[in-house]
This record gives sequence, structure tokens and C-alpha cells, in this order.
Amino acid sequence: MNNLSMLYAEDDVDVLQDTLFLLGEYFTSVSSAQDGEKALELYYKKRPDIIFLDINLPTINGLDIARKI
Amino acid sequence: MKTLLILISIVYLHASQNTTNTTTYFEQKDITQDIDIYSVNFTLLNPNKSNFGFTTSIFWIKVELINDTKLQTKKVLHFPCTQLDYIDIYESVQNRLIIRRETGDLRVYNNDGFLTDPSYFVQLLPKERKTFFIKVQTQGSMYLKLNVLNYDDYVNSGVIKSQILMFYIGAIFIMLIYNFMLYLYIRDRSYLFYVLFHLDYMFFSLAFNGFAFTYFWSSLPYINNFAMPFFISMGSILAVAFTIDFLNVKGNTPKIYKLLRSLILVNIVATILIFILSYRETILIVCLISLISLTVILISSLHSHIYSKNQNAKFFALAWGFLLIGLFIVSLKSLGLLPTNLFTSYAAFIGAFIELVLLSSALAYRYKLQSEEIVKKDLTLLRQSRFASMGEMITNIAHQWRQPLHRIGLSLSVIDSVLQDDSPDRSRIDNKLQSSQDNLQYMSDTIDDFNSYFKVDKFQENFNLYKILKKAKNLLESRLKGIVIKMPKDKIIEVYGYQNEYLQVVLVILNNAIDNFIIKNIERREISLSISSDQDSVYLDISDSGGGIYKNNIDKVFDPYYTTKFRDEGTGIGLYMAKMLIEQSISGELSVRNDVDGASFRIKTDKR
Repeated sequence: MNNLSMLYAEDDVDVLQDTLFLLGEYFTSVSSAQDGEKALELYYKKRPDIIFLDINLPTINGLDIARKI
Repeated sequence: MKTLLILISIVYLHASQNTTNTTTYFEQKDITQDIDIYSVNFTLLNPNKSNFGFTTSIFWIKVELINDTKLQTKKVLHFPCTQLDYIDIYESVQNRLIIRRETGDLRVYNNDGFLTDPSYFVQLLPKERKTFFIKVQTQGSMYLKLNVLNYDDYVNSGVIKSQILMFYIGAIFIMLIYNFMLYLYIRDRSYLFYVLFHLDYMFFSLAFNGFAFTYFWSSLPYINNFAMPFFISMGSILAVAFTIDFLNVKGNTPKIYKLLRSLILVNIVATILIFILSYRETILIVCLISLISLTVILISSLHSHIYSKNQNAKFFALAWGFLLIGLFIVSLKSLGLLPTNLFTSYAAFIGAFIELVLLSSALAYRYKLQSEEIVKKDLTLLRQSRFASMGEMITNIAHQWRQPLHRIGLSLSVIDSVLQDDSPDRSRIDNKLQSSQDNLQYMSDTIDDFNSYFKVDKFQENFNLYKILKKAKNLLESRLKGIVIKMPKDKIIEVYGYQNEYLQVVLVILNNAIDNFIIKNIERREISLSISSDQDSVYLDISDSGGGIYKNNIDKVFDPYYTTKFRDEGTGIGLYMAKMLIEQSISGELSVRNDVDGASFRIKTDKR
């Protein structure tokens, strides 16, 4: 649609699924992670245009990920 | 009735002048010259005006004893005053004076009979007549009272007099022990001053009544010169110190505090003067300063009662008032301004006794007020801690509700989005409805947990420790994110006590551990809970990886209002309340030590 890719990191599966359901149609590529390490790994691999980070994430928290990026 | 008899006997002992004997006196004003006692004029001694106050004169008493009966009799020359310095008893034999007895309180104890008063026994044959000249010299008050008693009367009334004195001293002693025990128990400094004052007063009474001389220092009569003034001025110092402490004068009325402090100094100077000046001078100085001290004490206590609304000061003023009145009467008597009689002689002792009883009650009353205040303070603390934990719980609930609310919001958005499709996916809608239902149930459960936590336990009961820990974990769920909680393996052990109070203690310890992780920014956050037990007790150990408590603070963690957190983060009553709850309402023990990784709290409770 608008050629944007998105990464979403959220440890709550229900919230993750619902959010992806609602936002998925606005992005061409969507990837998701349930912990900080995986999120960072996906970021380096896919370089998404938009990232949504939950603050309370296992392994590395959202704020630290933002700092690293 | 018995009391009445005793009183009558005492009055009798004082008033008993054998009327068949005549007692006359002569005042020798010039004491440097010898006089011919047979050529001077003796005046009849009025028993109601026998106090001549302070004087430098020598007083001579002439007494003639006649035995009218046909039997041999025994008479007693008895001075009802123990304070006369020198008493020389001469018998007149063929117009010559023969010394029979040298006594008085500045001589080695030398009296007949069992009373502490100077006494001399005289044997009279049938129809015999004896004349005695008694020379009296004293630096104190010249109380020239001489009783001539039949031996039987002396014994009968003397026994009662001794008994009353012993009873009096015994009562003072018992009260002294009572107050001393209270001091040991309460450790209140006012009690110590009071006990010392009491002890001093007991010695004063012993010295005044001649007991101390008769039984403690009978061969060291010069002590009598210092004993009375010393005990009076020491009593004065202790009474003032006691007043300062008891009425908290320093904090309440600084001006009166300064005045009382200078009175102590004046009394100390007077105490030193006792060993420098003569008895006559020191007893006057000491009595005067004591009366001033007592008056100031009385005024301070009235002031404290009126201005500081100190209820205790009322007792205090009343008590000292009695002693003051008693001492005034005795002082006026000593100066010869009041007649010497039973009442004026013992007024100070009666006043002092009332004072002792009233002050002991005042101290006990004060202790009661203090205990009530402590209970009140503890209740306030309990309430504060409940409020504090209520605040924490509300924060927890808010945290815990945020996530389900978010989920429900998302579910509604999903349902809305699905319903906009031409052919809505029914199963997705059902799925979201169910999920919302679950989330609402979870929120409702949170409220239930919250409610049961604030419900006050009425009974002690056996409860499953694991369940309590599980509940604590649930209540703190939102705060425990990122923290590894190691639950105990033992899931069946039970503890006896108040469930919610135990839970409150666990929450306080867990919350402290979490706060510590945050404040110290600890990376590896781990709390391990372990249960162990022996025959009678169950131990719950809560250990964290927060680095432990600083060595200097470890003794203070259970003190009220002690906190290492920032002012707005901690009230400092959590652990104090936790300890109180465990030790007072569950009769367990709460202790802390430092482990390798961090602090380790141990709750010990009864197994039942």
C-alpha cells in the first residue's frame, strides 16, 4: 500500500496478535518479536521503517533497544 | 480502736510528768564562769513552754524525786529529744554534785533503756528522796523537756513508740524498695532521683529519731554534727533534680529551669559549708535553703499544672505542699516560735509520709499515661502503615489493570474492525469476546485479592504458607516484572497465626527488595523464598540479590521512621510494623542478616 515495513516488539501474545491484526493492513512487511534480543536481531536484519517497542520486555527492555538503535 | 490506744499512749509519753516531782530550770547565760548551783534561783519549768530555740546558754534542770511508797521503785529521767548535744546528769549528795551520767548526741551513745532518746534509770528506796541537777548544752534548738516516768509507764509507752517508729521506717523502706523495683523495670530517670530522695529521706528520719546514732554510729558521735544538715541538703538537691526531670521543666519553662538549676548549685555550696561551719550555722542555712527550694518546687509544679496543663503536676504540687507545711511547722518549732508538742514535733514526718505516698502515686500515674501514649502511637503507626500499603496496593492494581484494559480495548477494536467486513469472521469475534471476558475476570480477581488483604483477621488459624506466598506474588505481579522469583518447594507446610498480617509482612519485605533493586539499579534481580521447619517452628527465608544492607544500618532497619530510600519513596515504618506484627500478634520472630548476594529476612513462626 504505502511500502512501509514495521517491527513490533511486545511480550503479551494477545496484545501482539490484536495489534498486528489491526495495523497489519497498513504495512507491506510486518515482523514481530516477544523479547528484546529477538527484536534487536530483527532490526539489524530487516531495517524496518517503523518500530513499535513495548518498554517492559524480557532480556533487553524497550528503552535500551531504542538507545542502541 | 488500736490506733486510738497507740495515740493515747504517745500523748501520755509526752505529757507524762510525774506531778509529785518538781522540775525547775535555770538559764546560765554567761557560760565562761563557774556558778554555785546551790545559790541560784530555779524557775518552774512549764511543760508547754519548754522550747527555748537557738541559744548559747547552758540550761540547768533541777529535779527532785521522792518515793512516797514503802516499796523500792525505779524512775526514769527521759528526754524526748535526741538532738541535744551534751547532757550531764549530776546527783546532789550532801550538797555536792556527783556526776552520774554523761550523754547527748555529741557523746558516745550512753543511755539506759531501749529507746533512742536520752534516758537515765534511778533506783529509789522506800521513802528515799534524790535531787538531780542536769546540765544541758546544745548548738541546735534547746528543747528542754524532761519526763520523769515510772519505769512501767516508760516500758509500756516506749514499746509502742518504738513500734510506731519501726513501722514508720519500715513503711518508708517498703516504698523505697517498691519505687526502686519500678525504676529497674521502667528505667525512667525521674524514678532514680525519686528513689535516691527517698533513701536520703529514710536516713534523715533515722538520724532525726536517734536510730542511726543508736544503731549505726553509736561510738562516732561527731557524725551527728553533720548527718542531719547533710541529709537535709542532699534531699533538697535530689528533690529539685527530681522536679526538673518529672515536670520536664527544661523543655516547658526554661526560666524556671534556670532558677531550679541555680538552687541545686546553692544547695551544693550549703552541703560543702556543713563541713566548715558550726552545726548551729549550718542547720539554719540548710533549713532556710531547703524551705526556699521546696517553695520554688511547689510554685513550679503549680505553674506547670496551670500553664502546661500537666495533670501530673497537680499530684506533685499537693505532695510537696504537705511536706512544705510539715517542714514549716517544724522549723517554726525549732526557732521556738511554735510550742513543742506531738503535732509540731512530727508534722514534718506526717507531711513527708503523705508526700511519699502521693508522689509514688503520681509516678505510677505518669507511667500509666506514658504506656497509654505508646499504645496510641503504635496504633497510629499501624494505621499509617496500612495507609501506606493501601497506597502501594492501589498503585499495584492500577498497574495490574492497565494490561487487561489495554487487551480489552484492543479486542473491541478488533471486533469493530471485523464487523465492518462484508462477511464478518464469527469465530474471531467469539474469540475476542471470550478473551475480554477472561480479562474482566482477572480484573475482578485482583479486586478480591485486594479486599481480602485489607480485611482484618479476627482469629488466628492454620494457613498454607505456599498459598500466602503465591498470593503475595500475584498482588505484586506488576512490580515483579524482570525479577526472577524462586518459589519454595514445600507446598504443604502450614503456619499458625493471622493470615493477612503474615501476608502484609511478606509484602513489606518483597516490596523493600524490589525498591532496592530499582534504587541500586541491580542487574541480576532474583528473590528466593524458602521454607524450612523443625519440631515447633516454621522458618520462611526471603533472600534477594540486591547486595545486602550496609553494615552500619543493619541494626537500624527495624527502627520506626528509619529509611534509606528517598523521602517520597519510603515512610520508614514498613519493617518496623512488620516486626511488630510478627512479634506481637503472631508471637514469632523477624530477623535479618546479610548473605553472599544480598539481604536475607527470616520469619520464624509457631507450627500448630
